[in-house]
Amino acid sequence: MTEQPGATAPTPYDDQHAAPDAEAPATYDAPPTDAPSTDVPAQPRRKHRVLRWIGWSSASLGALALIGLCAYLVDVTSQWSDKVDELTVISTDLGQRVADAESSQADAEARMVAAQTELDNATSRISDLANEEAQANDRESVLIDYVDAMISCAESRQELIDVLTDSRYFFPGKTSLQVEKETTTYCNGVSSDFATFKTEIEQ
Amino acid sequence: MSRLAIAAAGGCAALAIAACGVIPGPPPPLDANFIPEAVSPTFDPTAVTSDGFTTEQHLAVRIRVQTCDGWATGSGWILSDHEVVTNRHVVEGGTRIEVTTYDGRDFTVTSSQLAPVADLALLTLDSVFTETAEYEITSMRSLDPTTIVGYPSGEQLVVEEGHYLSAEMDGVGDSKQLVWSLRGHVEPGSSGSAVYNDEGKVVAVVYAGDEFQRSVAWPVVWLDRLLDDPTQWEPNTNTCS
Repeated sequence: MTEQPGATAPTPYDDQHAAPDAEAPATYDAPPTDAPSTDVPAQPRRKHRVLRWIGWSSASLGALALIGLCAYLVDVTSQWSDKVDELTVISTDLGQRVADAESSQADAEARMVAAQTELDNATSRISDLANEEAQANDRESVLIDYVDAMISCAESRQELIDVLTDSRYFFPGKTSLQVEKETTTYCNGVSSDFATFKTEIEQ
Repeated sequence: MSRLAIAAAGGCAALAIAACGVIPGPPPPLDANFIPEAVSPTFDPTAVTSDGFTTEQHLAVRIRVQTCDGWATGSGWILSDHEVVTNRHVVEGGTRIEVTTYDGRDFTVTSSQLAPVADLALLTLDSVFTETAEYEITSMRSLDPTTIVGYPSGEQLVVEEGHYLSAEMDGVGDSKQLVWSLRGHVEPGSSGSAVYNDEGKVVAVVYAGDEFQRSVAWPVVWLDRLLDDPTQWEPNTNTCS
């Protein structure tokens, strides 16, 4: 078989396709039907218009929504900003009050420490005075005892003098020498104890 | 193409709706007062005394006893407006007994009574005291805190913190009774000091001690028995010749 010049080589499937119209678009979307060939592009155009309309509408609605949202956010931001200003004023006031309260507390604590120190000093002084008075009373008791002992000593010696100077007097059951010895021992003891006591209280 | 656009629009719409959930709302109205209610202070003015001394110090008295042989000092505590508790050995044979309060006021004892077994004595005065101690019959456990308030060596009032050690046989007298052993320094002159528990109640009366910071005390149950049956008290007599 020889090829005709100018003719294209048929493809193996050429005979299975209908001969295309020279004006028809090269598309397989619409199978060949009996409908007139001019109705085929009208539907996509309308569809396109609808889609375009939907798109513009959506875009417009979106833009409006965005504008509304922006307006809302501006308003909310403004409200929050006002609230921040109010809270700043309040926190400043509270901070000042806290500072005043801390200052007052520090002052009160200092006064309390001073008062506590004064109270401690006062109670200590009261204890000291009470103790000094008690010790003085103790010493008074001791001194009264010593005075009693010394009076007793003096009376014993007076009795001894009376016996020694008047022959009518005597000590029953004892000699004057024994009595003199006992009296001297007693009086020396009193004197010695009193000297020790004086040394103690002088310390 | 159109399906893709619809899907994108739907996605955007869903995103926008979802985003509405995170859009901040307007601020709530402010509170009228930002200062919260403070907890009221728990300071109890009745818990402190007006002069800086504690109640235990108010209730402690110094005792001066004149005997036939001389004089001695001891400690005691105010049981009622006209009664003071101390040790038997402090006042036994006393011819004149005086008590001195923490602030130096002196009072003369009008009569005294001695306990037959425990080393305790009860002094009676005119009604002069305005504060009185509360005693509590209680059992103590080892290391329970105690406070001894008295006049060691007859000098300044001392508050000695210590704790309970154990119950033991009376090793000082011959009573053969159980007494309390305490950790706490006492000296001659501390005899009759009140022993307080951590609730401020008198629980025992000191009557002896040693150089190892240990003291011995009669629990107040012995005092309570005598107060319940006053006929058990013995009179305090002196035999000065």
